Order: sequence, then structure tokens, then C-alpha cells
Amino acid sequence: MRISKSWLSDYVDLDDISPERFEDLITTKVAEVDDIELCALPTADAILVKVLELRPHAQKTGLQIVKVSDGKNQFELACGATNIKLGVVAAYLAPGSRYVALQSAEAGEEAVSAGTLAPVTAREISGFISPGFLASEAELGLTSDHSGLFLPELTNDTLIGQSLSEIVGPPDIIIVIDNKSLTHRPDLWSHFGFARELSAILKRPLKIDQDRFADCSVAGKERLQELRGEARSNFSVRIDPLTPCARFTALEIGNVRTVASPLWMRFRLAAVGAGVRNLLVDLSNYVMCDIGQPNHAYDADKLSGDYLVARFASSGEAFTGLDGIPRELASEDLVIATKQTAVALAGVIGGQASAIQESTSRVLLESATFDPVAIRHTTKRHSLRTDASNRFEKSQSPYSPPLALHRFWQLLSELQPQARIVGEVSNSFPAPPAAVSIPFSYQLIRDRLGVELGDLGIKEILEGLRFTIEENNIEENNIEENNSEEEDNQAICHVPYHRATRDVSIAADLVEEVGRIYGYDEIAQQAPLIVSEPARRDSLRQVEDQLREALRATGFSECYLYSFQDTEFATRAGFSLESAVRLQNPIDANLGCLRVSLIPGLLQCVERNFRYTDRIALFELGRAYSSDGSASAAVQKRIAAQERRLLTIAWASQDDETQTGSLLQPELKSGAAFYSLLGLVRDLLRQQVPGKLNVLPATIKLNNPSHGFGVLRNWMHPHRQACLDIEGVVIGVIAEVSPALGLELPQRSVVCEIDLDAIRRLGSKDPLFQPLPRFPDSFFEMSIIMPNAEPYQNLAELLALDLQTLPVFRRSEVLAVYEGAPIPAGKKSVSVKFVLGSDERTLASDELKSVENMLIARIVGSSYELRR
Amino acid sequence: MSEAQDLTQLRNSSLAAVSAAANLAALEELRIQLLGKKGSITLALKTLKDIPAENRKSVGAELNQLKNSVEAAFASREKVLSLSQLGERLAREAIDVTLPVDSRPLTRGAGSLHPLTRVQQELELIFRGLGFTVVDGPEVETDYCNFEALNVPATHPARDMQDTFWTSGGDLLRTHTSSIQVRALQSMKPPLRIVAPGRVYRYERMDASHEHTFYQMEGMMIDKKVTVGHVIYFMRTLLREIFGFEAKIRLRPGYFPFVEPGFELDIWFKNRWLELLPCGLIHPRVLEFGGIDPNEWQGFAFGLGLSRLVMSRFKIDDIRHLQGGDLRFLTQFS
Repeated sequence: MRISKSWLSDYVDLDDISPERFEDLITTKVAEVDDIELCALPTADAILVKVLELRPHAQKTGLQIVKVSDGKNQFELACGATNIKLGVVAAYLAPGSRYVALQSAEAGEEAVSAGTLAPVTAREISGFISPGFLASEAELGLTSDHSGLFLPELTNDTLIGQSLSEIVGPPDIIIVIDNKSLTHRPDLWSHFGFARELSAILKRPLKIDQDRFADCSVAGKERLQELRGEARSNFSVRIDPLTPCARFTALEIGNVRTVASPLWMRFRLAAVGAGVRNLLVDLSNYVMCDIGQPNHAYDADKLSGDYLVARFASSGEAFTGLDGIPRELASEDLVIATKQTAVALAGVIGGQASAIQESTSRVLLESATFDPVAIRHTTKRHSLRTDASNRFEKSQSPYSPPLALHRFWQLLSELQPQARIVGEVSNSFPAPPAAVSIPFSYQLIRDRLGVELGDLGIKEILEGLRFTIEENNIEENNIEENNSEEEDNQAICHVPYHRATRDVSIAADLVEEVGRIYGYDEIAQQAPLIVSEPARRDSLRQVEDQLREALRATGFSECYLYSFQDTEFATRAGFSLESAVRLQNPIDANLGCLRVSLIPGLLQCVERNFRYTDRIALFELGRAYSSDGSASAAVQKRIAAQERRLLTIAWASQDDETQTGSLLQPELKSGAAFYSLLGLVRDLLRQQVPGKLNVLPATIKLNNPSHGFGVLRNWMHPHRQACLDIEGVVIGVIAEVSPALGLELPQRSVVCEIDLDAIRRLGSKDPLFQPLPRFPDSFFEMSIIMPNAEPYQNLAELLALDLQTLPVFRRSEVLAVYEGAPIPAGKKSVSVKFVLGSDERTLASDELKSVENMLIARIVGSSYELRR
Repeated sequence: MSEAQDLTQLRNSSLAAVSAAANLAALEELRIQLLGKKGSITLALKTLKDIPAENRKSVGAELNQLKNSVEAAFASREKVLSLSQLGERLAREAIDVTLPVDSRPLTRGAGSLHPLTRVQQELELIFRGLGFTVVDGPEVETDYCNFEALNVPATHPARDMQDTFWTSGGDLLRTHTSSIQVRALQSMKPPLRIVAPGRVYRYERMDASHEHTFYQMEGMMIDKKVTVGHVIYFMRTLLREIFGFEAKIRLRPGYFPFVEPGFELDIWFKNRWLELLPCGLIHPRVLEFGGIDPNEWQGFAFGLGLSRLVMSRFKIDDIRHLQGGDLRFLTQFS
């Protein structure tokens, strides 16, 4: 929306309002001003000159040499325009003045882009040096018309030699407001609408009150009946039953001529960004920009039959609009039609066949109110938005159509005194809506705003905005509440028609009206009186914050990745997308569902980073989604999808895995990356949950596969993977990335994913103090030979059978794993240190020996053997 | 022996040899023997010209077919062998994952928290100090919680303001954290004070300043008496805590269907007003949807654009960095 200050000045006195104040008032009290343009047109530079002589250029056909006079001097210019005639007045731009460049060009040393101001220079054209030129409307920035010279028709010659601004007025100020900022205000889509606001804000009267034509009042009804002429109208209007059209009015006007609009109208339309065509079309636009009501002028001679009807289109009905595009209509589209054919896509665009033409001498002016939802659907269906449909979508009042009829006729009859109304206004208005009234209390408005503003002040603001207040009987209130200290006066607020369609309907809406006009800046901050209560803490959030801090401290970087899943890659990585949440309108066809795991995204992220660095330590705390979560809760409380909170960690490096340089026992020849991430995860979990962590390859233990973990997936190295289990609950997975996945990753990349909800469910426990040992621990070591493929876990479980029963057992540690001679092929030797101790005594050597023997007996009785 | 018999034999022996190749090296050797420059199939093709014209066409066709099927056999055998070779390699790489090895990743340099995390944690701390509980809500939301119960019915033009991702099940990705207001009203009893940070989605084309995924923080207070003056108090306090000084702010009308009156809060920054956050008194209908009597309780709500705050805080010029996962970006926040 573009709003012209000079146009607003037709309605409210704004002469003393500076551009800054103007912008500030609109922004802080009405709607945000996106931009303010000072229309610095080159009109002040242009001089009005009279054409004295014309002669063709000697060489160049089409070019004429024009002798002009500025009242004092006479001089010659080159001119190629065809509309130049002897005796006309034109606008002359001398070298040094500026004009609006129509194309991007080099002007002297600067580059000039189209639409910006460029300097006029003396130019040589086929041997003739022209000192400046005669300008078109476009070059003067008045309109976009460049078909010929701008030729103001002056009634006398006294203005010759004067600046063009003498006739087009001083530069205007335009405020630009995003349409979205006006979504809720159907009344603000016009200059008169903004004038109403400014009148209330500045407490200045409206010079012209267009609201008097709204026929929600008796006077408005009478005024509508006064719009009548001789004879009978050739047309009636009607609305088909059940059609989403609240009102349909039309006025027939004869004896009109299609001429150019007067300058002032063309300039104003150009200033607010509307196109300029001819008087009848321009008038329709002008009226809409002036008072907000969309309207359409048909060439009445192109309308067959004797009526227009608002009806649904039939499915597939053909219609060609003013834009020349043929469309097939749907049965939900609304049209205006004669008996034979649709002549307008109602509320959106007029038809080509009945458009105003040069020959038009009789118009039928339509002014109607259409249902916002129906219009919105039609604009979406046909991808066609117009100034009219934008307004209808916002719920125009059905009492507004008369405003357009009055305004159109008023302007037309001034400009074309010979025009005549034919018959009377045709008016179909099946169900005029009742007035909207809101009972409210003055105190409620004060309470919500937190201001001390008297009843009178509130009343004054609301009345300034054209609300009317009907006071309740105050005495009655006093009898009921004679104890109350503050008078809580009740009243009824009647909402003016232009605010009553949806915008203002409850007392809270009145709070806003009073607040914004009173000024939000005037409201003092106020600390609330509230019950002091500590904020509750969310345990999951605490877990997340501790984990991310621990990871950060270890050198990992936190990333946030997208929720959309690369479906092709996720499938390749072995994730089933069967229960994934799918999107109807994904950004990209391959991002058609939400992620079921954070792993695929993180793997791709590692690959991207590998282009720049070969050591990658990343993690993400995020959600994975699946659609199996919708339980049968009530509509209000239904959960749309299952959302799991996950922590996913990636550790990737190019380090040779045998040269670990870490705490890893050098005997372990491989798996450094795996073991080191696992070591970190062990630490993280120890800080969060009680209970022992078991690390089990997925091939050994398949636990609750629906959980997502415990399944051997394609992305995992089949011999370097495990699920993480705490006391029977699988809480995560860790694996090296399989080279079969085909990603460009560092040599060794390990990924771990942990279910944080599971961690939270396991809960944390305060550590319990254990008395410090008073006697030194004792230990012995043993080496056990077991099959290479068998996990150490099996051995640990076997030995635990005995160790668990011993009160003196403290812990065991793996010291080394050894393969090679003299250990037979296919076997490995595992050296374990067993630590024993007591709080009462230092253990005797025979006590140690008996434990050792017990373990030896256990081993000998098993499939393992002792290494001697 | 007829030519046909020759060809059948050649085909059978070739296919048998291919399927018997024990490894990729043997397979490659075989390929040279059969299909190389002097391979037997290549030679057979070369002798075509010596065959009498009347037979040439049919023999030629057969030979070509033979060559194609042998090539196909090579391809499938190669796949099998390379897979098993990979399988063997992976098997050789087997480790005992149950070993209790005590080791840590040798990371280089300091780790980092995401800038969104840093700002979010800071805000959570401020709000917890003011008695606000931090809550969460689902990202895949129902139309009811994202729109309907926030006073945005299906026909409301405000739905156009927030282009939405829809799921195939008819649900949506929340377009704002305001949906958490609805969830909180369902599960908590007034008086209450909450903030709810989270990820939100808009169906938008991406560029340096537009993302389809970004972060907001919703705030809400419900009590017996809540005024616009209270909104101003909390917003001023928040900004003082964030910026460390009294920022110059203004409230101006802003339209959001779930608040009435609704505001935009602007902050004076580098000689101009910057739009910072929308806020307002909770619309009575929203309270009613949440089962709360608007005559007894009132509230205010606000929505902080976390992504935008992060960008201006750290002078990040392209919003796409936030979810790009680029370590060169992330490690700047260590």
C-alpha cells in the first residue's frame, strides 16, 4: 500500500506535520511504515515552453527541429515525438537539470539505472546540437507514459516560462506499508481510511466525511436513493441464492466519453503505483484508492440482457479477464454474469469482452461485497491477486458499496458535466448485518493497559475513531456496587460499520484502540505483584546441558542440523523410513520426510567437513520423529508424532589406528577410534545414570528392535559396532562407519547415538560415600586364552559368577590382549588384573591364593584355558 | 564340428570360468583371456568375415549375444567378489567391542557450543531468575495447537502469513513456538510463567536472511491481573539483562491473532528502530481454548526470534551458517 500525504490532505489538515512525524505517527499508532519516499521529481527543473515553429530535420526522418519560447527567449530543440503540434505547451528540460532515466545507460561518467534521476546534457543528434529536450510524463516521473511528450493543456499563457511544479504542486510524500501489516484492518486500504485514523490521532476534524454515504444509517439510505436520473435503468442486479456475495449494487451512467484523465488524477494514481489508462478506468481505480471500496465499470453496451447476476461459475466455464489470459473456472469461483456469459471473476478481475473502450458511451458501475474466504480461494486457485481481491480478502463492510457509487458519480459529473445517471441504483442486499455493540467497563480498559485514564479520556479516544458510546445508567451501578472505591462504569460501545466486519468485536479490541491512540509510549513499566515461586526445572534440559558442556570440554563442537531427511541416503544407510513423518510439500523431493535418526545427517556433515579438516569431533542434540506416536487422545491434546530426543556424536580422524598415542594398550592393534569414543561415552553416561553399562554387538543381542537401536544397519561396520545397554535397557548405539557406505570420510569415523529420554527415565542418583580403605588392596594377575572371535564380555560374565559372591572382590582390569606365537592361531590371550581388599584387614596371601584357585577352577571347567 | 556347437561350447566354458573365478585378480586375468585384444571371444568375432555370407548374419548375432552374456556374467561376478572381499576385509578388522578399554578421542583444540545454545541458555537463565519455568513442546504439531486454539481458524488470512509444512497425515511442522502456549495451558494451572525455546519451520525459500528452519523463544505469563505495563516491565528487564544497559525501546501496534492488544517491540540501535519481538496481552479466546476463564485470568505472551538475536549478537551475515554444520563456523564459538 502506498499512501500519498497530499491525497490525505484532501481529508485532514497535515500541512504542519513533518515527514518524520508523519511516519512516526503512522508507525506507532496505526501500522508499521516500511518506507517513506519523498517524491523528488524533476518537475521543479522543467520549464513550460510554447511551440512556435516545426520543421523536419534535414537528414533524419521522424526527427523535427522545434522552435520554442519560454516567454523571454526563443531557441531550437530536436524532437522525435509524434504528438507535438504547433502552439502546444510542453515541458522543457535544460542541460544541468535532471530527468528520470528510462533505461540503464552511461550518463557522462556515471552509470545511471532505469528509474533513477540522471542529468540532462546537450546532445548532438545527426548534426544538430539540441540544448536539452522536451520531456514525456515518464521522464518527468509523473507516470510511466512514454508514448509521447507531456503536453499540459493550459488555458492561458501566463505560466509560460514558469516551473512545471506550478501546475503539478510541490513534491509529495509517499508512505509505503506492507500489505501484511494491514491484514486485520479492511478499513485501512484507502486514503480516507488513513485520514480517519489521523483525524482521531491529531484530534482534527475530517474535511470531507465519506462515511455519510454508508447506508447503515437512515441518512445514508436516503443519500443512496438520491443517486437517480431520468428514465429507467436497463439493468437490474441479483445474487443467486447461497452465493457468497453479501451485497451487489450497480449504477448505470450514460452520455460519458472515454478521454484521458485530468493531470492531477493521473499524477496521484502514478504516485500510489496504479496504472493510468483512461478516465473511466482511472476513476474506478481512483475511487478504490480514495475510499477503499473496489468497483468495476463495464461498457454497458457490451452487456447483453437486462440483468447482472452474482453466481458460482460452472465447472470449466471459460473466462478471459482484463489481463487477456483465458482461464477455466472452477465451480467454487464466483462470477458476475449476464444471462449469457460471465463478465467478471467476481472481486478479482473484470472481463475483457465488456471492458471500457474508446467507443464507450454508457457504463454500468458495479460496487459489491464478496465473501473474503471465497475470494481468497479463487485468488489462490488462479494465482491471481489484484488490488480488489486484496481488499475483499480482508472483509470489506457490506455498507461500503454506496461510497464508491457516490464518489465515482461525484468525480465523473464534475469532469464530464454532460454525463447522466440512468434510472436508480440497483441494489441487492439480502441480509444486512446487525450493528456490532460491545458492552465494556472503563475500568477494564484501565486495568488492561495499566494506565490512569479517566472515563472521559477513554470516551474521547473511542469517539475520535468513530465509535459511539452509550452510557449505562450510572445510578443503578452505584446501587449495586456502592461499596467499591473506584467507580466501575459500564457502557456499550457501538462499532462503526467499517470496523465491524471482524476487526473489533470484543472488549479486548477496545483496549487496543484506546491503547494505541493514547500511545503505548505513555504507559509506564510496572513490576507485577506475583506469588514468588521458584521456576521448576526440567530434568531432560539439565541432562542435555550437562552433556553438551562435557562434550565441549572434551573438544567436541556442537552443531544444529536440519530435521529434513535425505531419504535416498538414509535408506542407503540402512534406516527404514516406513514410520517416518512424511511431508506433503517438502522443500525438495528428496527431503520428503523428517529424520528418523540424527546419524545420516551427521555422517553427511562429517563428509562435508572432511573437505577442510581431517580431525572431526562433532555432536548434535536433536530430535528424531516417527509417525507411530499418535495415540487416540482427544483432538485438543493429541500428539501428532513421536519425537525422540537424541544425542549423536561423531569422531573421525585420519590417524593410523595402530599409532594411538593414547591410553590404549599398545597391544591392541586396531580400533583406536572406536575405543576412544566409547571411552568418552562411558564417562558421559557414568555422570548421568547409575547402573553398569554393557556394550554388546548387535549380532549377539537383539534388543527391542522397534527402539531403533540394536539393529545392524548398513552404515555400521559389522565387526565394530555395539549397542549400549544399561541394566537391560538399550539406550544407544555406537559403531564405526562402514566403508561400504561409500562416503568420503576420514580413515576411521565412529558415530554414537544415545536416547536421552531413556537416560532421563533411568534417572540420576547421588553418589553414596564409601569409607576410605584403611588397608591396602592386594591383587593378582591371570592370562586366559580364549577364541579370537569371542568377546571378552563372555569371560567377564563367567568369572563374575564367582567374583560376585566374594565380599573382598573390588574390581578387575584388562591389562593386555595378545595374539600370535606362542598363542595358537584363532585364539587370543587376555591378561586380567584382579583387585581384592577388605575394610578390616590386609588380605593374607593364602586368601588371595584361594580366590585365584577358585577362578582357575572355573576356567579349567570352561571352554577357555589358562595361560601358564 | 559345426559353428553352432563351437559357439555353445565357448559360451558354456566362458560362463563356467567366470563363475569359478576365486578373486578379483583371477577375474581380471580371465577377462583378458576372453575379452582382451587377443581374447578367444574377440578372436571369434574377428573371424566372422571368413564365414560364408549366408551364415554370417546369424552367426554374428549369436556371437554378439554370447559376448553380452559373458560381459554381464563378469559384472555380476565382480560385484560378488568385491563384496566378499570387502566382507573379508571387514572381518579381518573385527575388534572385541566388549573390552573395557580406557581411552579418549585425541581432539585438537577447544570444543564449542552452538551460538544458538549459548544465547538460549543465557535467556533461560534470565527467565528462570524471573520465575519462568522452561518448557518444551512437539515440533510436529496439530492444526489445533498451531492455529485453531491460537484464534487462527481455517479461513483466517493470517494463515497466509506463515507458509506451512504439512505432513501427509494432515498435521504440520509448527510455524511458531506459540503452539507451546496451547500445550502449556492444557497441562499447567494458572498462575503460571513459562518460556519455551524451540525449532520452528516455515515453508520458505532459503537465502542469506531466510530459512525454513529457525529458532524462537515463546514466553507467557498468566495471572489475576496482567497489564500492558507489566509487558513493558518484563521486556525492559530482559533487554537490560541481555545488553547490560537500559535499551531505548518502543511498542507499536502489531497484529497477531492470538494477542489483543498486540505489539511489536522495537529497539533503538545504531540510530534506527529495529524490530525485535512481537508481544501482547493474550487474546481472551486463546485463554478460553485453554480452558481458562478470561474474566478471572489474564496474561501476556511474547515471541523472541532466537536466530535473529544470535545473528545480530555475533554479527553473522548469513542465517544458513546456523544449520550448516561447518566446523570452520562452529569452532569460532569455542
